[in-house]
Amino acid sequence: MYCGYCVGLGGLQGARGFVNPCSSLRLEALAAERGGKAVFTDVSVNVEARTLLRVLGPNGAGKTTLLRILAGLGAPSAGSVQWRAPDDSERSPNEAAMFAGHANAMNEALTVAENLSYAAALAGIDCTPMNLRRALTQLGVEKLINRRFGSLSQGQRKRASLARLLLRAQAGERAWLLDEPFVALDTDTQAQLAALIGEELAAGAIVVLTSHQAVAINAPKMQELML
Amino acid sequence: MSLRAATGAVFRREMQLFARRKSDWANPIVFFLIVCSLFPFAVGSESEKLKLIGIGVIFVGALLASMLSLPRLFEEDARDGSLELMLASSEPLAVLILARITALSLGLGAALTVATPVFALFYALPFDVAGMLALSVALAVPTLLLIGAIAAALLVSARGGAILTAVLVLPLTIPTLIFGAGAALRVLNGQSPVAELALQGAFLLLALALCPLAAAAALKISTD
Amino acid sequence: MARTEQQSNDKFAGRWFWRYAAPAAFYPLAGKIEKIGWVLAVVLAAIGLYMGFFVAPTDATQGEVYRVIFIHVPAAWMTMVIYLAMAFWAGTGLVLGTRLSFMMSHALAPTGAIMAVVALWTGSLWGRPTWGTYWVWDARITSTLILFFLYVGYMALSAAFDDKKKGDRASALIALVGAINVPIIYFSVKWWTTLHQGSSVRPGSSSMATTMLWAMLIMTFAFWAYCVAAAMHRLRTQIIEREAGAAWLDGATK
Repeated sequence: MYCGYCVGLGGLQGARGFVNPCSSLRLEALAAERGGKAVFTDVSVNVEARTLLRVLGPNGAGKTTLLRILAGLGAPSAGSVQWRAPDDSERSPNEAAMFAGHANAMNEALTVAENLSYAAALAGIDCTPMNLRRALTQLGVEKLINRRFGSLSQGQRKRASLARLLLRAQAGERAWLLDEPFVALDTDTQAQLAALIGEELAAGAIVVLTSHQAVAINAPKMQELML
Repeated sequence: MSLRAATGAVFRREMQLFARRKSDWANPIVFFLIVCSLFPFAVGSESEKLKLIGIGVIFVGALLASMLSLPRLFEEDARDGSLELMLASSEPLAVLILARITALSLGLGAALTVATPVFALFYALPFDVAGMLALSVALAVPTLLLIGAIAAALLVSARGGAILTAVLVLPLTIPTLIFGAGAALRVLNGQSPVAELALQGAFLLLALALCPLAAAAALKISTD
Repeated sequence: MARTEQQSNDKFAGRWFWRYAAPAAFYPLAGKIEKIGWVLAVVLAAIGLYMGFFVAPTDATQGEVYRVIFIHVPAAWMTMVIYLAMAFWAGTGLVLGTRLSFMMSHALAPTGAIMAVVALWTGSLWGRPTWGTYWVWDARITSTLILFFLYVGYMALSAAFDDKKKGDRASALIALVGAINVPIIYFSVKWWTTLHQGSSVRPGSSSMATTMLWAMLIMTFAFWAYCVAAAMHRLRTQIIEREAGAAWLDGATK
């Protein structure tokens, strides 16, 4: 069943070129709790393609919790999250979005390439060596491809792990869920990441972002959600 | 297709880690060796006495050594964030966990199985008994890791770590212990070990069917 | 499939036991059950112990020592029954997500563990004069010991989470895993004891006098009543702890 489904999807992609699996995100009366206490309640928002959604709020307002729910990593206590494709069919969070949290999600004993291809395989992305090299080049760390992740400096680690977001075959193919992505980045990398987010948005993606830093992002459409 | 890609990736990564970090299999073996060499100091060095306790000591040693490897399953990944890659995947979590335990069983199981007959020499056990003990350990390690995976998954986000894992897992491993050591005891007594081996096989199959599902549920509970 | 679920939901809707799934509704009922339980436990234990210790005849082979079975046997039964009840409520909690079910499991666990200790303790007191040793690796004794480990594991796990809800679900899962394992463990241990040693003397092999049976029966009911009362008491404490701040509670505890 799995195989048939995926071959079908692959065939579609091959024939028409580009299928954007996430063209809208809809939160309906979403609520979450942690340790039996409500973190936020009744969050409803509609996000269309090419939109940057900034999630704002003080510490403990549940920004990370919200992002984890959007990524399918946590269950809401009430309400629903719907990722939809352009043909209005529903998508699972993992097909629709990629999540980048505080941790790098890279094992120190493995090389950058090994770590990234593992992440791609689990995200259901067919990651060719070319994609991998391109993603690392975009972040200026293509030389690190065969280095052990544990041997990299903090800045290099951050860049190498951000490359995970760029592994998709086409720009704009997946939504990005970024939890405080600018933390611990130098100003150059911040600008670079902001530019990449802008490109991704322009290509049709949804980007959901929590950030305490005011980094300028060139977004076609921008929405804010206050928790 | 992508299920195969994902399970393949999980399996490959575990094997890469095993090859990359010698301590992953060297430490359990060294621990195993030390446990096995402690007992003669406690009970005396007469070979008749050692022969009697040898099977039990070696089997319990292998059991404890595989328990020490349980944090490798999820805890490490939870710390560096890569556990989320597995949790977020659209592929069934139980299958991914099974791939992971399979890889760990092959790596750790091979290491412990090779070490077992060597340590059996400490206890003056005949070759046929040592061989049966090695076979028993080879059958038991996957079962132990499968059971242990449930506890390891539950404890990803709890206090108490290693001790609590032991408290949860060890009572559940008693049947495996009984029949694993039992098979070698049979050979020592000149009897046929077939019944014990068959039961061990049955436990392994049962664990294969149930434990990945339980571990997946456990992981969802503890990371939600 | 979906239709039958729907039907069964309709069937349950409005029934009294759904109403009592809410801690607020169950709290006063638990109080009543607790009171009845204590009274029954004291009365039945008084009758049962009197009958067991003074009325029942001395055993022909074991002498007076056998009288410990009036405590030992009911305790051994209770520890098994409570584990099943605990696993049942744990499963109910996982499936239905009802808070009260998890609390019920938590309330039962310490009583079950105490029953295991009582059974083992009295068993070894009986074993010393009868078998000449405090401990024998007999199948039933060993299984009770393992059951005690499972109780301890359950309690330790539910205490290991800062997030109570997580602790509830995690310990419920381990209770179910334990419940599946209990028969496997029991039969493995049984096999193991027959493998290693000849059959040992077992209590109750000789025919029992009617008064002995009655005393045993009454003591069993006394233990049931005690366990129910103790569990209800603990349940009420838990409800107060967890629902602290809820409006209904202020009214109920005033």
